[in-house]
Amino acid sequence: MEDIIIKTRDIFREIFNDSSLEITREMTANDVDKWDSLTHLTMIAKTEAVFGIKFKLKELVKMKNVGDMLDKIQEKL
Amino acid sequence: MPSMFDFPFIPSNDREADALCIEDKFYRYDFLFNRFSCIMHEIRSREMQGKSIGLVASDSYDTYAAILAIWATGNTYVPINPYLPSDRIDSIISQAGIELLFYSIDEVSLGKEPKETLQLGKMNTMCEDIIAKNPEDNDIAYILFTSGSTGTPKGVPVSYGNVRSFLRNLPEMGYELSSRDRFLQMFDLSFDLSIVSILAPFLFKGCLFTVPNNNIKYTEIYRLLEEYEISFAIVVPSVIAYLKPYFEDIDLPHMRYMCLSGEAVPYDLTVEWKKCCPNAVFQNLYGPSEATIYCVTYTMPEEKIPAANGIVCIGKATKEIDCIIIDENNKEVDQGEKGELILHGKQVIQSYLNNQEKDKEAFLEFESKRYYRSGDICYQDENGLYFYLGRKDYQVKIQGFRIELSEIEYHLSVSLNKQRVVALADLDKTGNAKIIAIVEGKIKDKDKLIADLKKKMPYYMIPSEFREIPSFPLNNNGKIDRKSIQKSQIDNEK
Repeated sequence: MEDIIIKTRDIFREIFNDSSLEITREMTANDVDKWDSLTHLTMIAKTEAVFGIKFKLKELVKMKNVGDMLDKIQEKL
Repeated sequence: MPSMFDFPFIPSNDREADALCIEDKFYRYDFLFNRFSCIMHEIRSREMQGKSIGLVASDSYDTYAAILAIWATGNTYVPINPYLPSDRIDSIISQAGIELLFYSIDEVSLGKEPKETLQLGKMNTMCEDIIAKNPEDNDIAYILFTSGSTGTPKGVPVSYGNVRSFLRNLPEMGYELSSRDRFLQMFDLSFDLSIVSILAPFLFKGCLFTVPNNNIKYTEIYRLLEEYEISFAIVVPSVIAYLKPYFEDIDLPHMRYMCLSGEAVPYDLTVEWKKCCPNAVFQNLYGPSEATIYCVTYTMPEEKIPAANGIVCIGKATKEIDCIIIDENNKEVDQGEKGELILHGKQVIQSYLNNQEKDKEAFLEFESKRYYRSGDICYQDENGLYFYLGRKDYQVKIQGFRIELSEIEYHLSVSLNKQRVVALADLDKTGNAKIIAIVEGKIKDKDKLIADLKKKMPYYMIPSEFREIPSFPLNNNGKIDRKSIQKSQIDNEK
């Protein structure tokens, strides 16, 4: 999980253009300034590419925070 | 079929049927009716009629009950978004002359307070004898504020007569809707498609499903459509564009009416999206707020949807509207020729809110009738169908919001101490519009600039990209050559 968290944090730092951004399991789109529909789409695509996985739309819908996303990545690896 | 001429109306008091679903919680019609009558009591006890009542928009049952109560007491509904910068909220409150402001969130921060604010959760639960007022056609039902080129939001007052005229068109739309239907309400309340998304479920006594105000709407909209088997939805195409990578996984057999509106409707996207809603009638609803929600409509055929430049046909005018296409000399063009679409009829507003300058610009006398200039370039084909080609000015739509690029330029230039700025619209990788600001010279402190802009403009108007060029090219008239900047900064990069 440690490796997943670091890689995901780096994706977030790149997409949201903030080199000091730290992620937490409880974090949601409402906590990050530029996290909107478009950056969400870009972030998902980047995550899929980095981990070599593919999310289904129904899985995206169920992800309510960063913690849900990290768990889903781990499940798929 | 409800009587379409009753506006305003009293909502149903049915104890069995669901009226609202907010964050997965259902509220029945008798509950909504009770909240509605309490709010009516609050308004009547102040002897208000024909007054502007502000409503801080939030995703709560009282927001919807209050809109119906403001109308049923013959007053003017003015939605106010709490996320707007306080300068903008102050301008709306003072322009609309709001004396009473309702809200249902915990607290609301305002610059200048109106005369009275009322937290709807704390109001008396006294109920009224329910008799709806019958406002005159000229009385104002709601005022929406859109981007204004001078940096001040521009008020569009829509009368009860305008709304009645709009509703008279509903029978010919062919909707076979009933209390069993489930309606999506995805719009920000400052956007007039929210008005029809609220009226439709309550007129047909169906259930309205709201979309929570979070930053990522498209996954939530999909969830509601799928999980609750929504059967009637008006959506902006840009939301559908976000779902495009997942179209293969989407199957919405319960969708009966899929209405695309608020922006130009892309042909390719529509054809693909139709496969996800196999049993739905697809409609394109076109119209500026000044002609009350929509006034040119098209029910798409199953196959061979007519389109021009990749944009689906907008169809024909509603029976309450006359459309004409004119050239630059205000002369009617021949059929098939392009020009500006102008609109006349009872759906068209009388004037802007205290803005004679804008009235002069936007309305014209044509063959002794008053027409509204849509600013949209269109043509009509041999079958009488209208096609939208683009804007004649610098207005763009971002997520369905109408934006004057000149307003963005104005605020940027003020924040940059009068440096010259050109704002351009481009498409992002999903095909949705985004704003790029081109600044002459250097931007000293970009973070401060963005922080400044956020105090002046809503989030959807903040440019997503800033570029610097040493000096702007000028055209033969000595004006900034926007076309050349557009070409070098946007077109050549593709």
